[in-house]
Amino acid sequence: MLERSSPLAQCNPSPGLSQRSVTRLLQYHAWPDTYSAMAATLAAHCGVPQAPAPSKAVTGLGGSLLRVHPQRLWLISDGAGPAIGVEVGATLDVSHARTIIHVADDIATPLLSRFIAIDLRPHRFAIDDVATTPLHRVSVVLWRRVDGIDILAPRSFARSIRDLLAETTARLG
Amino acid sequence: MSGFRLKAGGLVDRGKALRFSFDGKSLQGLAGDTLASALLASGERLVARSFKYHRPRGVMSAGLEEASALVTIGSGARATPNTLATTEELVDGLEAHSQHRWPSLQFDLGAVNQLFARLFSAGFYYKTFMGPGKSPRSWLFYEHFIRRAAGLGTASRAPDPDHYESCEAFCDVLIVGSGPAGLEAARVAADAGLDVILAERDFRLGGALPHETHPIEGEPPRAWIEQREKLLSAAPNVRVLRRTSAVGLYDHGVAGLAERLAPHAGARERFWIVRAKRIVIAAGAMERPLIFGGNDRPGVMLAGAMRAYANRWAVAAGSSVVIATNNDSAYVAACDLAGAGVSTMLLDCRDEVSGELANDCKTAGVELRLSRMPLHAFGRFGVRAVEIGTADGGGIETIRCDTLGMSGGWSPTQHLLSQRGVKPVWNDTLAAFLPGEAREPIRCAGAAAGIWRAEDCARSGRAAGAEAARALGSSAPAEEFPAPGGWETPIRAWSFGAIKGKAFIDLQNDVTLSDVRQACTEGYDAPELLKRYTTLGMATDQGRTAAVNALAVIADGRGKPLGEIGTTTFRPPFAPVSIGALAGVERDHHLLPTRRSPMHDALVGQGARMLETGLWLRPWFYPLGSETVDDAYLREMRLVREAVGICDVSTLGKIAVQGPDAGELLDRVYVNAFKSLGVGKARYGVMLRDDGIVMDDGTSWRIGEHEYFMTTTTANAGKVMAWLEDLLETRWPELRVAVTSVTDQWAGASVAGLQARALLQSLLTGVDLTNEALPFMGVREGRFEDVPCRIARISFSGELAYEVYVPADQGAALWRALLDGATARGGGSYGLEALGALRVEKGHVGGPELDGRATLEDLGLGRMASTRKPFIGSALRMRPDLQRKDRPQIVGLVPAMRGETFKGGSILCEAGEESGHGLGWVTSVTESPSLGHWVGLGLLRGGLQAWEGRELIASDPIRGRSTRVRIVAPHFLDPEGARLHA
Repeated sequence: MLERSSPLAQCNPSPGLSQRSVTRLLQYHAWPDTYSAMAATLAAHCGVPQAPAPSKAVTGLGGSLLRVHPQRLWLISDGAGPAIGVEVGATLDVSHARTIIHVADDIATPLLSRFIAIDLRPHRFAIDDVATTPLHRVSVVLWRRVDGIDILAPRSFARSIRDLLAETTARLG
Repeated sequence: MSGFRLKAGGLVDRGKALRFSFDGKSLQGLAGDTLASALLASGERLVARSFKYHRPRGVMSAGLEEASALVTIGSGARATPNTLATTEELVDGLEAHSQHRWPSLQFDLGAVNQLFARLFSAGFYYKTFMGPGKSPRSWLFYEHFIRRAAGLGTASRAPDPDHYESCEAFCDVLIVGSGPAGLEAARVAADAGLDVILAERDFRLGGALPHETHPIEGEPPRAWIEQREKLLSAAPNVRVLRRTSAVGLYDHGVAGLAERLAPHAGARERFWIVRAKRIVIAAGAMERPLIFGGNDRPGVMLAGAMRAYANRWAVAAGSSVVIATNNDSAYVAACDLAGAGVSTMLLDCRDEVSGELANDCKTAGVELRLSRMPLHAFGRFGVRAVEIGTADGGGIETIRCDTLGMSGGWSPTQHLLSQRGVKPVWNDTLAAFLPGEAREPIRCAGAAAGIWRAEDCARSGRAAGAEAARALGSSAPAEEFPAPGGWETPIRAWSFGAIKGKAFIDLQNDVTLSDVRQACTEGYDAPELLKRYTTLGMATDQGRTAAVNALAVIADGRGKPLGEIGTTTFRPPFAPVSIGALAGVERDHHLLPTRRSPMHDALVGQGARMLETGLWLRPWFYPLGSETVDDAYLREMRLVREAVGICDVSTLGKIAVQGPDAGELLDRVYVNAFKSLGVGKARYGVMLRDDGIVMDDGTSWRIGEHEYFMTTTTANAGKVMAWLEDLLETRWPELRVAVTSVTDQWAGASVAGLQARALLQSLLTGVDLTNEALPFMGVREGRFEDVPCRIARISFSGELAYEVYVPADQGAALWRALLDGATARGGGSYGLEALGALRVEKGHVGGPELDGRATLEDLGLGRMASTRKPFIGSALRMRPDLQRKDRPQIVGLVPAMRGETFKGGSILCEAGEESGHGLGWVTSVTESPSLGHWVGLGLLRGGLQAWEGRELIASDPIRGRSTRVRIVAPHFLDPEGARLHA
């Protein structure tokens, strides 16, 4: 397979910041009256009892589901996603559209609270909480993981956002 | 005599000396000092010059209410003007400069203004330079000189080298101020489990308690503070922010806090945006000056400030002090000063006070004079005597002193509450505005609520903390809010009758008692009018100390109770905030985010000169050796016309339109039909705004029965995406369509030129690119190496051309392969400049023509509009004005003399009529290496039909050039499309 090149390849290392690679990111969009059917299909695929509530994520053997929109779920997995009929919704591969910047747990809240108007303290933005929010004027998706916060940033903005975070991290002390 | 450091006491570290300078003079202070306390301790009495009259000024207060001691801190790019010496924490090496004086503070030529003081009375500008009988030109003439003379301090013009940042925070309760009320509110709220932020402007907690000597709740004040500080520091649910001013309160519990960070903290200031469920304002109260002649002289200070300097900073403001008051609070100040060994006399304008206060004075050695008030202070650079008398001017005598204290009562600090639109309520008994009823969960506590005794302040803080806890569902011990007040003898209103000389009400703006009286006489006797007529209450001070005194003068003049006069509304910020703090990290190269294409690193590595276009960095041109942009783009155009060129088009907007109704959506937004487009085909489309004006253009590819791949211009990508989402959410929610921006999913390259097909065929598999298999506007899928790709036969340049897209992470690999192949075929890469020039040669409209004013017909695209279906803009585009034949319409332009050039933006007009807006304008120009002369596009009244073959002048008045141009069809190259279909 032709090797993938990261938009962050030229960035200098910065403590607490790294890139998390994912093989596949699929977007599932349901029509107004078909969300339940789509969510059930995806939950079954991932092996979880049910799809996540809004602004939540769940992870099963078949991958992770993120509820990023009232009618949308994102499936992050290593393999292919389930097919859904056109009467249920639409599937779109956006694996290359997002670059995941991982911010380590020890700096995630102090660093990101300098840019994001969401209460990111762990007891408020807990593991598997998801939020869509502007970061440096760019719409990103945040996902709290066990070891920090993942920023799913649009690929073209990823380096600019990462540079800003790295410069701010250096001043955090 | 000037101020001096007392031998004992204070909260300063006598073992840690700090060096600083004032106007170049090297001085020494102690850790724990403010600049003001260190200046006073060093005997520096003259620290500033006043705004209008350049009168000598000294330190008047010990806090944020300071109106005189404004200095510039630092120098060069780090200079910060208008810093209050009273709030500036002393650090080693601090550099302070006086301002608004020339050539020196001691000898300021601006002081000559005092000779013309009678001219500079209220409404001076309005009367002198504006209004009936004044030429409109007079203000324009004088304005320059007035502006040069006005203003306090000078900001550096150099870029600020320091870092600033902003920070978002959330809490259950935000407490503003850490006096006894604030500390207790925080403690009780924290005990109840609330998430608490405590913001304190000072670098030390305690509010006014560190100035206090009397026990509070049975404990020495410092021990009382330390105990609570310890508790709060240990509580995980409390964040204590020192050096942090709450400067603004906004809707829904949002507060703006400005924090000054310690040196080496990584940033100089931090602006906090706090979202609090409840807010407790425990910001204390500010002492008011008294109004008498010479009340602005260096050495005239607020009584509470004199006490603060003595008790907290161990600084005596002078050695022979007279304190004047109309209330009880100055008694403890006088007693403390006397206790520190300072000769002290207390003048009380009241005829009697409680026996306890009189006894306190006697015990402390304070000479108490009842029924006396200061009428006029003498001295130039410092007080040397004061003339005192009764309120009616009797009993006059002159008393020698070097410092004059004053206490005209206290004003609760409720500016933040005022920002929320809460009107304060005047209380005659306390002579103070008390907080009005807030409809938001905001509570004033302590002195901010008009409570004067420290123990009552602590009680009110506990009540406020408990109230917050209960409101948020926690339990807390019940505590009653104490009533405002706390003095034994009622305050007495100040009398203005016997005052002599120039008496100032607003020291920062040099507004005097006579100015206010004059303004009232002239009809400007409402607070808002008075403010604008006299400037009272403007600038950094915002009338903190002047407002109530001014209202008292207005009330006196109008013969009405003060409570009926009204107030002005305080607006954010309460205290000055650095612009740097408001900008935060979003400055310089981080002012806006930067977008990079998937090919970015490859392009830069190849030597591309990049250009910022919107947020994107795009390759402008690819210089060889010392080529200029003109050399390079012409060469790159030749590569395309003669061999093959490749261009990064990843920045084009790309939108996936999916669903059973995808075709229906496109039919509604494009002027032409898309539902009928076959799978595997692309079509050029134009979309209009609701008003019938062209919004954007691009191609949409049908890549499946229920899926289209829409492309937009780079500039309008976000706008079109938002437009589609808006339509689906608000107008057509019934459509089963998903629109998703996939601009970042795909990397794209345009491959144009005679050898484009051969080049692509050598790199791609699984796709037949022959004319028969992939005709013009055909779309196919193939593979680049083992990666799926999309290919469309589309041309922007007029050549045989393709756009090829691969997943973004493989974009760089595609680019390198294309570049190698193109170079081997005598071609190469071309940038934005050549891209634009190629499309002008071909006569395609682009950004300069799609300027938000043009219709389809204006651009020569009218025939594209379907008559079989409605679409957005289809009704309003038929408005008579948009159908006029004499509207500016697209034309081609060539110079009449083929060797001449002309510029974009030139006005098109007939010879001899080169003025005004002309007949049209030139939108785009380029040199055409294929044709050997310049060509251009323009929008011309009546268009080609009216002007084809005729000559006009392309007038460029800004550059002083005119060129004769001939009007031709806008298709300069291959109008039949033979190259396109090759």
